[in-house]
Amino acid sequence: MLLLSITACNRMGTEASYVVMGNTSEVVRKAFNADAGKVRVVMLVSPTCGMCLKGASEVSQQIAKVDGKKVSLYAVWVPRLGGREKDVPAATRVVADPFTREYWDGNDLLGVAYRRVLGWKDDDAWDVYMVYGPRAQWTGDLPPTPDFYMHQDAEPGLRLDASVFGAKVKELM
Amino acid sequence: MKQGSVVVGSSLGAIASGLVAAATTFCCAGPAVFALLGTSGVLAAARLEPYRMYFILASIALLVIGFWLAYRPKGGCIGKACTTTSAKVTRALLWIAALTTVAAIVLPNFVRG
Repeated sequence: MLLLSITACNRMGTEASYVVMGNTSEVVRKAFNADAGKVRVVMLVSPTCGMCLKGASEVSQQIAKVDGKKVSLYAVWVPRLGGREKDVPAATRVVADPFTREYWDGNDLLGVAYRRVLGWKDDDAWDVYMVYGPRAQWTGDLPPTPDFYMHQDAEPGLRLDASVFGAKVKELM
Repeated sequence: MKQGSVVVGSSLGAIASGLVAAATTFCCAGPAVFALLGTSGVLAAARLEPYRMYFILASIALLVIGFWLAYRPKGGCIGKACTTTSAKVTRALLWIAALTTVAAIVLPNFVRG
């Protein structure tokens, strides 16, 4: 009964549109660079992972509180824990910020890329929440190193605390 | 009669707590569980996950109360002859509750995201 009531009380919005990345991360790179001058938040999350959905919901709620002209949020849905493209529309409902750019990375390109960028040893990057300052530029094949990140994986680094993450976003603005 | 109600209540409470604790494990259990619970369900499980240990402790506390009430020696009543049908039912509930609680404790070792 408790689980059902909490399920019923979950505030979830409407489904959002998303872009399919295909075999290249160019579409994300272009959007990232087009938003130069703004703080950018990138989330790599699985549409079938409860912890990812919770993280995406909490981080997006923090972003929704700040001036949308100064921060951009990118939600990249990755195929972890059996996640498939058909799971993405329902997952987009947990993202509170209506201006979020959403992507389906079916080939886990950014997971592989960020594994190298973040120096993760045991796994590709996912369930990770990264923030970039206004001057960040994605110039090479790999995305730039984030100014700050948190995650909910077993890799070393800070465990996600949405309020701390939100404070960091505001600090970089 | 009143004691029987307490034991049943403890059993049901322990089962409920154990089930919720077990459910929190399914927040990241994979596509099969996601297919059952859906986006809202796994999200709810993830939101409850920080409280999992409290549900387990509540289950254990209710089990302790239930087992003590169900199995303590009663005045003038020794042995199987004193076990009524209702007592058997309540004890069965208790053991179901115990199994549920054990499952909630060990599940994370088998369900990995």
